[in-house]
Amino acid sequence: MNEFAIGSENLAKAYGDIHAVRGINLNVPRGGIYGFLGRNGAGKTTTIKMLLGLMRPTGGAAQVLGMDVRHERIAILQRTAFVSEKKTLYPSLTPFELVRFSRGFYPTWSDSAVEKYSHLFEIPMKQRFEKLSNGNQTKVWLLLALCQGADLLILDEPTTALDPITVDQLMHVLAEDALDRGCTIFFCSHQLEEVERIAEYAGFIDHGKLLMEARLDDIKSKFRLITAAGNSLPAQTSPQVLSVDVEEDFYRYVVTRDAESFAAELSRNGATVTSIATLGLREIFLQLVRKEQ
Amino acid sequence: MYFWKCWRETRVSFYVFLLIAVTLAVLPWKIMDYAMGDLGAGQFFALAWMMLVFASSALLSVAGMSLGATGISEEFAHKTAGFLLTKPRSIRFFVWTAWAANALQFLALTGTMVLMGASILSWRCHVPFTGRLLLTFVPGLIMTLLMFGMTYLLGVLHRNGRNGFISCLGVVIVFPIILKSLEYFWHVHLPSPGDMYPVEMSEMILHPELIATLPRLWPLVGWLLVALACPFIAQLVLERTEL
Repeated sequence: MNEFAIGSENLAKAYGDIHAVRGINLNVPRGGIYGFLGRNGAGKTTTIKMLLGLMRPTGGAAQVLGMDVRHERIAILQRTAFVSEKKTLYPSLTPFELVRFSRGFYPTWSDSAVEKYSHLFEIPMKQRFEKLSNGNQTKVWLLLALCQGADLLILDEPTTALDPITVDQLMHVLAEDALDRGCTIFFCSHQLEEVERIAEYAGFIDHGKLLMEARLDDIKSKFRLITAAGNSLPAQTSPQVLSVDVEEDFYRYVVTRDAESFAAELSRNGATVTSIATLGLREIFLQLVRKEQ
Repeated sequence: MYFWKCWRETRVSFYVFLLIAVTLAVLPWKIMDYAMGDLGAGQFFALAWMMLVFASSALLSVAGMSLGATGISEEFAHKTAGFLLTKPRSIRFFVWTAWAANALQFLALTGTMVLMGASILSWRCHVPFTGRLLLTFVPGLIMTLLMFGMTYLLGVLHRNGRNGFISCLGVVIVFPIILKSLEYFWHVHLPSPGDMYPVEMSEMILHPELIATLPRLWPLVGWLLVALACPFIAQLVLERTEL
């Protein structure tokens, strides 16, 4: 698992009968941006908490930057920056004081990065955290994570409450500055458009199960929506056919691979294939989740 | 850094308690001077000293409990534990740093009140300021340290400092009642922090000269260990906690 920034084998977390994470096998390559996608309550945050040692797995194993999450928590945290889903920080401290607080924990801390990103994100550094707007509170979290000089950035819903301009700036920072340093970014979100913009790899999680994990380009190049007209065409799903929608004599197939050969087979069965279209990440995600349901 | 943050968050209450401590350190002498100026020097000193011992125990109990309530438990109450516990330090580090930051403030308050009050009385009554006299404060100080530690532990168990404070207050009220009941109805004597005091309070008020009686050693050591065990138990609890 060492060539991966994050690797897990059958990682699981259960609370009695409730299975929050059901044996997932994550493989997050080093030096890239990995979009970890799922609905609310899909198990994203629980997975992250296990990776950071905030929760103990009830099954399986996981490694972060080649280190075991059960036994090397502090060494992992030394090299990992984290932006939490809940953007709460010490209410009475100012961003300046929060920087002062965080700096001492990391030998790789960069004061020039503080200067750069506090200006870029226009953070009021001398205002108490509790007085900041939600957007600015999120920016403080991002500032603290970006200045840490970490090898791995784990971002849990990092764009919460951010305006489109700041989201754009953040994406730019992540895609250029962080990656230039060789940092791996584990981007956890249900904002699919944002992930689609910058991620190289994507993993889809739902009900604690990893539905799919692959290079984003591969996912987009393989998934196709085939529309065909005909009578008595196949209406069942298969490993190749993710979903079928039938409306009178029109069939809409979402296929996961070999779209051309599937279309040819439909034609042989007397169907008229009207289109073979690519799918966006949103449609792919929705299809995968619907199939799981 | 965490030490600085703990100090940053409790410094206002520390300054308030310091002001009260200084006032209370001066007060016994002023009150006694005003009310019982005609007493003999020895009796005057003994009464004023006893007032100082009681006043310091009362203030330091409140200060101890309020400082105990502002430790690491507040990280859970304010939902900042997720931020703190993803810093590359052990849970033991955070538990003991928060405890040490508050314990130092507690000791500073104690030192100020005891040394200042004792020096003033000693100077006013021309009684030499001896270590033996200072030992009279020790049972009260260990008692307040125990309340500080207990609030800290209960705060961690509740994941909320304020609830820890209330629970500790409940223990302080209920525990002596239970002990007295056991003793009265079943003649069972369990160890109690009251064992640290060499004589009963009522006796001390009637005979202030008993204030110079040395406190008992083993109850002092025992309850000091209990007070120090509280943050250790808090550490063990937190190491098994999930966020």
